[in-house]
Amino acid sequence: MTMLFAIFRTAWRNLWRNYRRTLINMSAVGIGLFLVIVYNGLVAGIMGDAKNQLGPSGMGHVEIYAPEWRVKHNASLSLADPAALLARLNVPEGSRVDARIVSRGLATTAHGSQGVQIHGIDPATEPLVANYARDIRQGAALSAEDLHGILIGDTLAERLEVRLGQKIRLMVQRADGEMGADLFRVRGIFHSISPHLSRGLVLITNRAARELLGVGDVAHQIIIQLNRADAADAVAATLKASLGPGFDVVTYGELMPILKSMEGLVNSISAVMEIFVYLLVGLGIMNTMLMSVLERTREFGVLRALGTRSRQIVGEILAEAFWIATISVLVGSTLGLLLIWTGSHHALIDMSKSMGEGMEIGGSVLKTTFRTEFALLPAIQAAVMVYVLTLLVGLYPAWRVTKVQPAVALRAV
Amino acid sequence: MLLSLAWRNIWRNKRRTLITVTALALGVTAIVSIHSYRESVYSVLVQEITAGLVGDLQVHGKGYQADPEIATVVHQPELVEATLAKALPHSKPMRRVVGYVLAASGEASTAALVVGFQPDREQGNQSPLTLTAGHNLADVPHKEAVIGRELAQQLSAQPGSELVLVGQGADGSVANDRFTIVGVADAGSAELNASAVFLHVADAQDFFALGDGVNQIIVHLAASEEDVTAPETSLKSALDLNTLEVLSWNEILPELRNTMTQKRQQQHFVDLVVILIVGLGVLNAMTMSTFERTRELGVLAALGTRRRRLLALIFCEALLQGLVGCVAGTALAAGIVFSLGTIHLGAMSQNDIMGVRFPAVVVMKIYGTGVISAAATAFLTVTAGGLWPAIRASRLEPVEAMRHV
Amino acid sequence: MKILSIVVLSGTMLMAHGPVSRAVQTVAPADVPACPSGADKPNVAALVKRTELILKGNSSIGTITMAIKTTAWSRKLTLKIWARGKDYALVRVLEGGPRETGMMTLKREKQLWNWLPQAGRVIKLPSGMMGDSWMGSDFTNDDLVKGSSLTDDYDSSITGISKVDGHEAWQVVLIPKPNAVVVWGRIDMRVDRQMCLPLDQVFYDEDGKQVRRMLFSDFREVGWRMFPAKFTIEPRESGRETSLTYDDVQFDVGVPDETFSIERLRQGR
Repeated sequence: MTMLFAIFRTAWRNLWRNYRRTLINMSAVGIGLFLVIVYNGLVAGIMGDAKNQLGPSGMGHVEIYAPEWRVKHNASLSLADPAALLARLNVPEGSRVDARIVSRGLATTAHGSQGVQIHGIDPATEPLVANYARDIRQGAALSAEDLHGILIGDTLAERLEVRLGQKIRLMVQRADGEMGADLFRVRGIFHSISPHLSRGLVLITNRAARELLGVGDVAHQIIIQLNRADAADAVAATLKASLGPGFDVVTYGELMPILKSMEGLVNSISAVMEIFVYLLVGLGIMNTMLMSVLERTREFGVLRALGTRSRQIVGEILAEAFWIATISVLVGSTLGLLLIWTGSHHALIDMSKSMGEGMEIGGSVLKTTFRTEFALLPAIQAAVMVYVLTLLVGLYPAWRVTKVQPAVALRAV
Repeated sequence: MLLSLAWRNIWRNKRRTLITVTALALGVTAIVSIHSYRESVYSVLVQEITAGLVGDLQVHGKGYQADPEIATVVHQPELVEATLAKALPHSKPMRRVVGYVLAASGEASTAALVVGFQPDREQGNQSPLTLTAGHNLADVPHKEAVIGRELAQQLSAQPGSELVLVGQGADGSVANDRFTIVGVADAGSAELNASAVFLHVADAQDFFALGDGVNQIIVHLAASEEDVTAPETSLKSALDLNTLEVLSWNEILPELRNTMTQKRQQQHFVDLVVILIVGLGVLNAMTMSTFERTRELGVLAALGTRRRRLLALIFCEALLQGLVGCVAGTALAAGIVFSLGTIHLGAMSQNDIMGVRFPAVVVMKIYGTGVISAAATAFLTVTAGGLWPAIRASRLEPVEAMRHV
Repeated sequence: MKILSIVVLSGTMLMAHGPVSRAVQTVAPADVPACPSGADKPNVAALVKRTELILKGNSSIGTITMAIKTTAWSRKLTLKIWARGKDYALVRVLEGGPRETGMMTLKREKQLWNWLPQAGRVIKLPSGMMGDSWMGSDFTNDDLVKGSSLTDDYDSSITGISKVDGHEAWQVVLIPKPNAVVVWGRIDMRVDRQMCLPLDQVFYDEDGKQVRRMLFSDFREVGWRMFPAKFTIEPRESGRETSLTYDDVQFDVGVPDETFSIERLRQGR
């Protein structure tokens, strides 16, 4: 045991004999690790922030409809008793659920009319799944009993030349096939980073929507937002099984395949990046360790000549590798984690000036300011990889040392 | 003289040089490959845009882009096309009529968009639509229609069904007529699939009472480039801009253009990360190397070599390694790219990004810009990595250095 | 704005599809308030009610020329209109462009159907198309369908008297009741003192900006009432104008249910 301890202590001292080289070595490893952690955090923040990924569009990772509704959009194709349905949904802890009445209609003011999408919402749950329902720039949100209040997008307000407190008439095709119309007053004007939604979405309470469409206590769309996007398929499968036929259960992957494709693409790119970084870091370590060993050829020669076992020398070299790895990993990961933690609170990259706030892709919207996602697991994984790599790389120089003949070594410069 | 000395120096210690060069090569490979991938995708995307519904350039009646009224037309399109043929030889014009209607089939009715085009001029992969059922429109107007996939579902219609269209003519009259659906197609974007009704342009002109006018003349240039400023300018000078307007695809699809520009700028960020990683490796290696050669450099200094020459020497060695790394990296990237050949994007091509369909097949090529970008990165890297060791070398005290082990 | 509704809902005893009996009323029915020409400040509610009842009536059949003028083109259509109450109306294009002649629009409560002769079928108008112009005019499909009433949906008051083309007229201001399903902020109406008929109506948004103007002219005697045979709409967009001129009209005729049936519409009759 003391032998082991001695080896480590010797290794430590050896490292610091040539402190400059050691420092450079460590920083190579440390920075490599730092970059991997930051890059992963950035990518996770951009693509995988499942909690807020669908917030801008108000869509769900899993959505439930009455069969045929997605094709026919008929008001009578609805899900009965949404409250009970929401209560018995088998979803993971922390998921957010929401029910909506959905219809197309015509919004008219004194200055013209515009085709719109009407959402009859629950003002309590809607802001949890839709960012625009929280981003009310003028006026206020709807209260649950408001039968004549409406929230409209800022672009729509401009187009229809209507202001806070003024009238909008909504006309729809009711469930019985007749035309329904009612007057609403603008209670609030919201902003969505999706121009499409700012221009074409209006929100009324589900009570008001029921009256307008002539339906009972129903919903057309159930939205489920998860904390982990990759759980969507599993959750959908569970729901399909527990709800049985008579429900159309879809995942965001089926509704917007492009989001999934992009995820896949980005994942593969970051996997390549990681491999690449490890290769480089490994090369760097190999180089310096080799040099540090070769420089001390004479020294090792002396040791060998004095009777030190090869094993001990190898052990010593590996111990050096161990120290380098440990310190670099500690420093690198601390700095990396620190940065992504900061980055998760303040946007690290801001492209909104040139790209506008939201980018529309295949029906969904991506934000253009990028935060990092703070997660320990990927960082730990990266650290372990680097550790193992460093130790492995140390093997080659160690092996080389054992090959040298003491006599030859002694003569080296 | 310095160069050949530098060259010989770097090969004296093969292992060290190899490591440095490999690191550089890997960095260059990464940059060139990713760059190639991205640019290949973009070039195909641009081709899709320009070959499809949007074209390289468009000619409209003045004010149409800002306010697309059915009544705003290009009169006497044959004359405009003749002028076009002279200003931009080998370009191909396609006439289009676009207008909103109410479409009904059986019991169902819904709002739809009529796109009148010329089937004989827009064939094969220049066609705006990909048939999923039935067949395309005949070359002569026959009151036939091809509708978008989702529209067909909504109307419960298929080839053979009757389609009734109601709209407003340019003269204010009520446009209404019956058509026969001969095909169902994928029109290239989610929006169009849910609303497009394709008619022969002559049928569309009759329907909307446009006479000989058309709403758009789509121009496909002989060689599809991303930058169409030159052809646009020539066309503008040849046409009467009091009654007509000329736009490039950039102006018609500004968001797509922006996305591409942004993604390119993103690439610079990736390049930066690569620089940092590779630079570190190079710095590492070169610092070590300078260390190792302290004695040798000390001797050189003692022999009278100026500081500046030492600096230059080390620097040259760095540059040469950079060069070798670059060449090796590019070669490797080329190898990867050519072996990848054609990439099938499969699933992604089911979708559109801002209204333009994602390409299904991407032919990989090496892009000059990628190599330049990588070379610049390599240069920066070796400069960064080699500078400090070089400066250190030049500052050595010869006597101390010679005593170094 | 239910201009066309006002237009269609007036009538006399000429039936379009049944035996003809001519009994023309020469005295105003009892439920129509008298014309308070003498008063400077008459009972406004009664006045407004009278104007509405006179223009509406229980049913009507009329032949109208619709003229539409824009900066680019002008069109004339000859229409025949049957109407009953405020829920049922049938408009037929007697003469128009080649594709429009024979076209019919049927209103049943809040729904609209079109018969298209060229296509040979009936189309029901979806809610999304209600905002579109009817036959290219300055009326929207919506205007035909809306059943708002000045009496029921607005609170009125008289703000003064002015002279219009030599006529003396009350200035009436109509403010929508809070829950009335109308998009206007205010309507200003000038009512002729002698005839107790509107001379014009101006429609404002809630900010007081003028959006439309309707003019009534060419007053004639039809049975017991004076009736404006010409209605003109001036939308905010300059250079456009739509006018409806009655070539003949009969009020309070019996119009059979059959006239407004969809099945009949499908047959194109």
